[in-house]
Amino acid sequence: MTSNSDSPAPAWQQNAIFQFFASLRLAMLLLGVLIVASIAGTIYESSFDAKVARAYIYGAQWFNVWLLLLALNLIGSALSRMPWKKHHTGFLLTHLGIIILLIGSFIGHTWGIEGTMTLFKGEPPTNLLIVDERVLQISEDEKTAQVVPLEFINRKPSPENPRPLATTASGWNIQAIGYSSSLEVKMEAQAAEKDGVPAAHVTLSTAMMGQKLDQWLFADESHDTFDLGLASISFKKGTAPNLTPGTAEAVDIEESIFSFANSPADQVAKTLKGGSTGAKIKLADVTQGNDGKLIVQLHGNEQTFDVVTNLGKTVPVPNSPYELAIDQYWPDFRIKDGKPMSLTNEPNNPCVLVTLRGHAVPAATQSEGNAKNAVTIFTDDKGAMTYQLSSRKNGVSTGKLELGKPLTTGWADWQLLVDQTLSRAEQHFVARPATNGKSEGVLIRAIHADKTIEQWMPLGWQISLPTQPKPMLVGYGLKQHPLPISLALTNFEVERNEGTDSPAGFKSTVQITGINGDSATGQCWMNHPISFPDSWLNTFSGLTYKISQASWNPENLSQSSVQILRDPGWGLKWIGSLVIVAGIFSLFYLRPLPTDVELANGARTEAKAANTKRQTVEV
Amino acid sequence: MIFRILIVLLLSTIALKAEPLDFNQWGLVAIQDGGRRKPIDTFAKETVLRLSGRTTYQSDNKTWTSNDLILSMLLETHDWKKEPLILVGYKPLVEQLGLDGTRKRFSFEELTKAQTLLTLAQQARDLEKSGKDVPRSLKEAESVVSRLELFNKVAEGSVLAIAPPATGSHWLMPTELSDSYSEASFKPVTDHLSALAEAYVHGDNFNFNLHSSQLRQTLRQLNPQLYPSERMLKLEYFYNHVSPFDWAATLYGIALVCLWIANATPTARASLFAGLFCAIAGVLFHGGGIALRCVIAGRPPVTNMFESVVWVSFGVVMFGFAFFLRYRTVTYLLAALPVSLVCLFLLRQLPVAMPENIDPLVPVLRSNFWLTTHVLTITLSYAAFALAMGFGHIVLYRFIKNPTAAASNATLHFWLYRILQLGVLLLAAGTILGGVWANYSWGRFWGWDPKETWALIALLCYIFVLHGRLAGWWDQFGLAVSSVICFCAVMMTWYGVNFVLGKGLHSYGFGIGGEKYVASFVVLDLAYVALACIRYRKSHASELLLQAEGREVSA
Repeated sequence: MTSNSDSPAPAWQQNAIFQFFASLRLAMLLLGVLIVASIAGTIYESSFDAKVARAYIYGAQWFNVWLLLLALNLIGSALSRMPWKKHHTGFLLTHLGIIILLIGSFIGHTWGIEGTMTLFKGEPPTNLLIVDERVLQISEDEKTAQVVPLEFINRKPSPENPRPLATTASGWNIQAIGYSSSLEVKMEAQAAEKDGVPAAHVTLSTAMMGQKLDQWLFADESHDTFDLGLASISFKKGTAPNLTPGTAEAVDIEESIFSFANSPADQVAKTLKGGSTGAKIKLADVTQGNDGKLIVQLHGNEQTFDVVTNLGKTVPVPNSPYELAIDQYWPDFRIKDGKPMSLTNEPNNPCVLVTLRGHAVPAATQSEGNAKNAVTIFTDDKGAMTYQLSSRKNGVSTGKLELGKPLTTGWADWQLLVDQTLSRAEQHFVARPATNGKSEGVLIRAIHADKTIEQWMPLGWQISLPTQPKPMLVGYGLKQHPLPISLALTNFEVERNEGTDSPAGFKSTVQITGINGDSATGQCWMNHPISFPDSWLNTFSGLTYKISQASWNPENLSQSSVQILRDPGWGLKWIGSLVIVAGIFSLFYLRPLPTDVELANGARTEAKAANTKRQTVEV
Repeated sequence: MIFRILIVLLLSTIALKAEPLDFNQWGLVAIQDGGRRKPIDTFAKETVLRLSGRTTYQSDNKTWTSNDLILSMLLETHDWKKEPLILVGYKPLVEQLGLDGTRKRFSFEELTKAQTLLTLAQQARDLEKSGKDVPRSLKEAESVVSRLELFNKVAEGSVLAIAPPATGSHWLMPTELSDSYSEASFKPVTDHLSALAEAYVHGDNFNFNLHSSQLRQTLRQLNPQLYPSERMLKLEYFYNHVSPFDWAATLYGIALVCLWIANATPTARASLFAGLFCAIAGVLFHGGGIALRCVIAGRPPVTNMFESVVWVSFGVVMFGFAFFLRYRTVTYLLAALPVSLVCLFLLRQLPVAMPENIDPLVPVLRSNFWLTTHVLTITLSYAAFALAMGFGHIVLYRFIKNPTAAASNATLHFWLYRILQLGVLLLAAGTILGGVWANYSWGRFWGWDPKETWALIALLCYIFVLHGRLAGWWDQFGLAVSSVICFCAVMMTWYGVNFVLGKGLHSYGFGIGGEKYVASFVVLDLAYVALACIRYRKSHASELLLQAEGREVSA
């Protein structure tokens, strides 16, 4: 390697162990394995998840050993060049930079803290950092809690292969005996002995889209509605209101309607006085030379008028309080210069304008966008059910609802069925593995003498186990790490891309209080973290809490998640990075390359070319 | 009131034989779509591309341009629900839906009849919501359903946000004008709109253009502050129609042929100059197109796959020129031009996988400083390695042709080595800059995210190669071979992480498609390398290299 050095190498450089650590052979081995391992890591991450990749590769002990070896190799190869000459600068800088970077990473990894906090506007400050490690928390009384790490990377527990977790003070043995990535948590009803509210099990199904949804509804304040997005179902005590007309007062009504033969559904109505008549006007049978018929639908009552004979006249509509005037007719309707007119006499786009006048109760306004698809199911004291159904298409209707008999909703082909009711029920949650479950969870077994309790624990839940002598509170969730600073969200803003709901940026205003009473308010948004304490030295060295905007909840705009990082290795990572880049630059571009000059001058004899090659590859 | 009628008028179905219309004025009307104000010309192009995977549509008797098609859909002059317009690009999905497997495009009616489609798309959305992996066929079903939804929106006119609002930032559809303006102020708009609709229906080109241009003026008068300037609208329209990257590709092609002739016959000076002229002209188009996109978008042009391919192919040619000027050899250009050509060709071939749209940035990328420093540096390193890959092909070609001559040509190897150096420097700097940026936006320096990891893998591969050369494990020939093979790691970083692995934090660049092109490229390349290796082994040229070294040592 140092074939050019004039004096013989000192003894320590000839030591076999030193030569092994300084060897290019070791460097190649280290690099080669790093490449293969990293590739494997990304494949693991793609086919499983980031945690698996971390457990087997990036976070594994052997990987750290490997990086340590790499550092030793870099130091060794640097020392093997001693005494250093000027042309070694680039090489030394590059290798030194990598060593500094590795030391920085080691410091950050060992003494650094990283996690997230979810903050809510208006809530008191919190200092609990959520670290991405799963734990089981077991408490038998309010004061003490046992926290056991509970991650599943390679071997998932099963009833045959339980994983022992803890033994509590009162002698219960806690084991994990199962894991599911798809748990379904459902609220179910069970008969209550006292108190309790009426409950109904509602099933909604569509044959067209092959979907079926079901839910228990309780006639109380908080669990009485099942919101599907496109429709909602609620359950209440009482009976459905009677919808017979006549309760409202009759007023003078005047409404004009444009109707088009080519698009009967698109009539354009305008109320001039009182309210809507609720009439549907159809223009039919328009052919050349015949101006067709007008069909007027009013509350299910249908009347036909001839257009030609009635044009310009006012005629009463039989069986209704209205009279009808056919004001205008255009065979080929167009708007020209802002005025309606007929382009030709061909019935290309026949249109008619009518006015209805009368003294009557206005029809329920069925403005298209406002009416929501909804069903309210009522249950009276005796358990008899009635419903009030509103559909965007068909308006509002009411009726009796029988157990086990499907109700056609009129929302596409959805059918609603109440198949089970309880007059006095209370809620309890049931978690079980299901194909489309939304959360992951672990199956816990608690054993004491001859008693065994098993319970699925969804992630983020705390459940009380019916242990003796006292019930035990068990929670499965992410590890919490108390920080010496506390955070409170004072404001959260979302900026949107113009004309859309997609976010262009989010900004949290956070009040930070340190354990020693220091306090600061800062704003963080993407690419703009807050540093606390924010002196220049702290920020650079990483001896600060860096608070970055992490994520948000589109459904709750007073909530914001921030990421908090304290990385004491940050300064070394920075310096190392700069040194590496400077090193590579000087290695490639600052060393005198005689070959460059010679080649530019066109000196290309074979011997010189061979010489060139030799020198360019010699670092 | 009048406006409701107007819209009904637009719904009326009249199809008259039209004289050829041009859309020069209509295309300049501004619209708010996808979080940005743009000319309707861009909107039409993007919409038709999203629906059909092409920018024009060929019906039985007519070629529809995108503007024509969109306007026809809005005015219902043609029964578009029956035209096989909508792309279903994934064959297994076509078969799963029970449709004709030989076709790629289907009509709205055919697809809405396929019941399973909605179910599959719903499954995809559910999986996405719960943060799980979505299988390819479900993903494709979801994108087909979003095409159907887009079709519906266009057909019912609910995308036509062409009127600036009096207050706020949500633009208005013509039907909503009465909500924020008095009838007197919006009446000119509706008048011109109905007049241009009528002119369109009757194929009256003069009035169509006249009223389109007057429509634009009246819309601008509603709120001149919000309306994009005439200059910006025209600039984007110009960009849409000049297709700078196609011009660049054509010129590069011609330049390549000329330079190749010049290289084979050193006396052909005219050919050399013609080639250089064409290459420079191509660079001007290429760079001009990038500059236009920058001006239109107001940010560096490296935020999606399309832009990064354009930028990298530009970088390849620029580096080719830089090295050409430094070392006075057209070999660099002969290496750069084909690489750039292939990139630009792929853009034309895969308009769905790499859409040309200029979209608003996701929040994490909103930092022009880091976008410029990190992304431009890292993509320039891809460009350098792409150039090295092209150059490696030339070196290998020389070895295939005449192994001994190639082995003794040290200059050639030195030239390649210089490119590799540039790539290593840029990739190392770019990766580290990425770490610094990640510390700002994600709160950590390095997190073994697949994109980060693959950038590191690519860097380690090249470093491995350079150190292996030092250790004498391989010679100059090995360097040429590895400059080709290591580029696979770069492609994995650049394309594979986003399109094959599809995991990690760099999700704003994710997409699907193009696997066939990339896979066949890799396979062909490896075969080429294998051929070169066989030739090299048989020729004993390696001994010659050793001899050369031996002579140097003894001297």
